[in-house]
Amino acid sequence: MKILIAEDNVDSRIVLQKNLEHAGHVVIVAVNGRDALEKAREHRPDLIVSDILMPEMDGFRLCLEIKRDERLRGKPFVFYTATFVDPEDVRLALSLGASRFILKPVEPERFLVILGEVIKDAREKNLEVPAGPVIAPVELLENYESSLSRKLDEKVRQLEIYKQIFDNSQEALCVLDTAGNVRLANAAHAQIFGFTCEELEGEPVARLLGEEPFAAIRTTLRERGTYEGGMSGRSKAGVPLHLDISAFPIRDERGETTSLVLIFRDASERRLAEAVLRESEDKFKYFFEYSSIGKSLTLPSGETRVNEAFCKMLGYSPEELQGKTWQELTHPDDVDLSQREIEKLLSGEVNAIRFNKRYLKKDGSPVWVDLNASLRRDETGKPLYFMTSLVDITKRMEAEAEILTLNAELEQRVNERTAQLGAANRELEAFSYSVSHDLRSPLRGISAWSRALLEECGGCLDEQARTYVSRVRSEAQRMENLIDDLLNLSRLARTDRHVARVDLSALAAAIASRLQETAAERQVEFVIEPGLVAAGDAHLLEIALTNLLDNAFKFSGKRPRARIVFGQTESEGQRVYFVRDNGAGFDQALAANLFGAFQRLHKTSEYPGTGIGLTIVQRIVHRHGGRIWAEAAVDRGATFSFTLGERS
Amino acid sequence: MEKVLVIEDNPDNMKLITFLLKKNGYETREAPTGREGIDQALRDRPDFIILDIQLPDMDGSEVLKTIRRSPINGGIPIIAMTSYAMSGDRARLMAEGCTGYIEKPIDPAGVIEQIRGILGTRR
Repeated sequence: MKILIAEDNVDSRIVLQKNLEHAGHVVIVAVNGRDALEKAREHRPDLIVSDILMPEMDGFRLCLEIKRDERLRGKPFVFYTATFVDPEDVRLALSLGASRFILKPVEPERFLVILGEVIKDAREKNLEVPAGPVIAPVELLENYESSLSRKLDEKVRQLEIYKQIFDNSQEALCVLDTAGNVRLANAAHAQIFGFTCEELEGEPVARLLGEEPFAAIRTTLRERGTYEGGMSGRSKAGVPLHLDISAFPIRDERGETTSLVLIFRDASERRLAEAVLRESEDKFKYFFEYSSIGKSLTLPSGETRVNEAFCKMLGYSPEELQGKTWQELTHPDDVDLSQREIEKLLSGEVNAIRFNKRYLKKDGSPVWVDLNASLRRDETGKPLYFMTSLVDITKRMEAEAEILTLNAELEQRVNERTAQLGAANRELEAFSYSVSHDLRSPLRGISAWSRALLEECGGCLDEQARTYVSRVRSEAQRMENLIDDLLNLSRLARTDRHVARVDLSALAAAIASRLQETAAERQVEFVIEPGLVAAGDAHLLEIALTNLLDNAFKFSGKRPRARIVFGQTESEGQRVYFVRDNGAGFDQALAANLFGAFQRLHKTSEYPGTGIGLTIVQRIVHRHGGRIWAEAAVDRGATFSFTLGERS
Repeated sequence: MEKVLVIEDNPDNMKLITFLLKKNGYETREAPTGREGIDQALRDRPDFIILDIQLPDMDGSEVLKTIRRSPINGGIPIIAMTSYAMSGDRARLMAEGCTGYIEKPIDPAGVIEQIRGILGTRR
């Protein structure tokens, strides 16, 4: 069957033509009503299928002309339209002698099915055609005119919508003529480039994009039909622009390009955002991948990414770590601890956690780490990922453990040594008691029996014998004194120290007055600095002071005017107490020997004593955390100075 | 004349204390062991006893307790002799029934006074 198609839209026309030719028909195509009328007269088709709205001559006019033509009147004429549904149109079409009025469905397949049925009806002569010439009544013509104007209105409204879309689009739109000059540009376009719409009209777009880039767009359009790409441009003020550009041509019904449409999107902000993102990714990479601290990033799904330092720490390759959970990598004893810490983060109780735990290396050995972790959340508070940093502190922990062990051993050794010392001390004490008791027992015997000898048998003894017995008694007495001193010395170690405020000045004064009573005939001047108060054991300090003042009193015994001073000075931030006399003194070179037990620098006959006194004083001073020293010269007196561990 | 029993194992000490006691008008009995001391105390009923706490055969406090439980009853004064090193034992000895104590080794010049003091306090 020979079919004439009148259709101004090139796409619709081609679709129809190809399909009908495929079905075995001979197809004649026309781009408008006038074209169709000429071709109908020339080819005399068996069926005419026409759109309504067409340039030059519309479908209704075409139908009227065909039905006025005697030779064409009998050919079935079929309208179709996709744009308008009005019963008036249908009535007009039929009164003009059309055989059918098809409402064109959106889907081309369905349209083709309907058209197929019409063609079948045409072949079987089932389509009515007018017998005589078609009269075009006034009423119908008026209908025709109003119908057209309605369609025009419709088109105008559509155009208005398109114009609104064009003007208000956030995307910059620009329509070019074939020479590349701007015919239309919208506000967004003007805004991107900084020109007003009026300034741009008639300007070559190459001024905005550059000759070469625009040439590249045209080439791509010729080859592929569309263009998509990024391009840099320049605004009116000269600011560089990053643009995403889409372009497509507008073609006429013959397929000729009549204009080009360019769509610009300002990518500067996006590019900036991308750059920032890349920058922060680089930073992230720097902090994550290349960090010497082990790092891991864990999604709530459990998917984990770790850095090289993490892998090294645990002795795995990155591939081997794939799919391993943290629980598998954690020392079994520390899994619960880790879980509790993670829950603190998840519950929002804390923003960050830090604790020490053990991981297991690939070889099964433990690694102590100092772990820092935080949980990133999105704006709604949903967990995004855990960021964890790990520092290997195995060496530190081992060192600490070693120090603890060493300390424990040291303490153990100190305890043992202290126990040994304590035992030795107790033995020594027991020994010295026992010695002094056992020594004293026969001594008391000697004393008692020699006295008995004098008292019971005195008459039998001559003068010399009585003198000898007296000697025996006095020697026994001397030994008794010696033993008393030894006993006192050993008691010092045993006595507990009761620290209190001790008025040394008052103590010294009391001792001085006792001493003076023992030798009323001597001229002794005591100078005691008032108000000297020390922290110490009153009983022990009294023993010490007694010994020092005793000595001063004793060794100044040969001075016609003895002078004994007790006072206080300061040295190196410490209080220093001193006892000074103007007595016999001693050779300073021998001062170091003074404080040893039984060390005497003078003859007993000259200055009686046991040689224990200063040893006792030194021991008391040491028990107070102080020290004692002496300065003297022969016949020029002596000064004994001591501290009691007090800061001044 | 008051009769005193001295229980002391060291012969030198025994000689000295009995010499001093006799010289001051006491009649003395001597026992060198704890066992003999108990026997003599029960047999001779002395006026008081001087008891060395460190004895070779038995502990002095055993002797003390045995005498205190015996028929001669608790009335008899018992004076313990203890060394200073044993001073911690003195409270215990007093609790166990001794009347007083004197320090060992005895002081020949003062021991008789000490003994009279202890006996006097009791009376």
